[in-house]
Amino acid sequence: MTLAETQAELARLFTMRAARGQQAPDGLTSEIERFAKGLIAKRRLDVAKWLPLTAKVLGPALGAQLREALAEPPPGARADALALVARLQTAREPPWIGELAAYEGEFLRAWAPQARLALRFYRWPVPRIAERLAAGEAVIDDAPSPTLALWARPPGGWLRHWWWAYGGQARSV
Amino acid sequence: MLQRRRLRGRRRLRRLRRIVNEAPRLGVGLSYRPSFRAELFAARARVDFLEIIADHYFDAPREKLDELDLLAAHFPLAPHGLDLSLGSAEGLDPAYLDKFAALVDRLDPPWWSDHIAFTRAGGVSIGHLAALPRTQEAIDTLARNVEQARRAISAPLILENPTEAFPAPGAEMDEPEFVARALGACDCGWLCDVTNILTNAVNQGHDWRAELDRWPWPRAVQAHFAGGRIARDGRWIDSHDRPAPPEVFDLLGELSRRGALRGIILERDEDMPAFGDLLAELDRAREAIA
Repeated sequence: MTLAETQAELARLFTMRAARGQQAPDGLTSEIERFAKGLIAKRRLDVAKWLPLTAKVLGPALGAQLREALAEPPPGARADALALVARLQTAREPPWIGELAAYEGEFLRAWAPQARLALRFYRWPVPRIAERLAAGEAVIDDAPSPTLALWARPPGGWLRHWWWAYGGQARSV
Repeated sequence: MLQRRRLRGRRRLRRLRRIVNEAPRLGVGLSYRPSFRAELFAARARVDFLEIIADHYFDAPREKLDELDLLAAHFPLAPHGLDLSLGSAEGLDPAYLDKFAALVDRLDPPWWSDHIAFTRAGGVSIGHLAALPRTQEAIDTLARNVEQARRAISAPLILENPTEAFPAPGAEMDEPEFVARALGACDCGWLCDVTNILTNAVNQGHDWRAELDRWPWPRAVQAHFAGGRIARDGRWIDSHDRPAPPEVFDLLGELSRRGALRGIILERDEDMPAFGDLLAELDRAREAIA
């Protein structure tokens, strides 16, 4: 095998479950499986860095949710995080988890030098929930409250963020 | 023909002198993580320099680049890449290389670094460093890609020895010989990750002390050290989430005695402790090389 062939084969085995099921070089099955598991663990850690509050709320359930969301071969940490956001839109425990993930996902989408303007509506006051989670508070008593959130990045500038929750004051971050 | 070889040899020698002997002594520092930014500035005098993960600043928003400028105004910085995939048989990604070159231009660092590894192959991005098969073909490929990188980035490149999850099939040599020959063929300084040396030795059943004379110490420019976990089966996991064990400091001491080390970086990525604990590890590294 040439180096290119060896590397391509290893890359497939490391990242694709189906490929590992079909074949592995003699004597390396367990090593490749261990490396592949390590890659999944790294992807989980990377997603938790992009969506820290969502990961905090999910706790041990993050792994199970991610297993269903992760694409093969790996599209990159940001795409993994956005795939989890999409998957959580049907999750109901806690009832605001999908909106919290979508809210964190907007910051991820805004992580680019390009100008950006985004306006989002939420049924739950997820910016307030996010602030409480970030402060280490438990969030168990929040009620639905229509919320608008705005992200704006001028060309070459810093990201600005505002939100308004019904029954609360407007906030700028 | 002979004259051309001599010229090439002289050019290589000059390049090696430039990186190994003329690089500034940066001291002992940290691989930067935003989570400790405030404490870092409060303890400015105890951190000699920073390594930044180059990839974190590619296609980055303005606030991240302002952070970079702030760091550069207060610390010497050494950019460290994760995904250049210098060992890829399919060559380098020109777009990634351009971004790296722009970052190095912005910082004008004493050196920059990446790994003796591949992260892409067959159209698949692995998302992590994979060790190269220890073959002459892999060394030739690495040297070809390093030459391409050099055409884009003029600052000296140093190469890091990675962890090996397992020796890839078809190995023609052992790890110390492979690293030494790879660095020689690429004409590069060495980013010696002492934890990776120990991790591979433990996991592959070698005695790292018995192999000490076989590593290319004179090429060492910078060191990485970190701690990791020990799995149930006794394997070391290079997880960067624990304090470094005593063996790491023993090997740092050996490295310092045998090479002309210019900088040492502590890598801590997960389970971040109190910043004071990181500073204590830096002090311990300073003692190890004293």
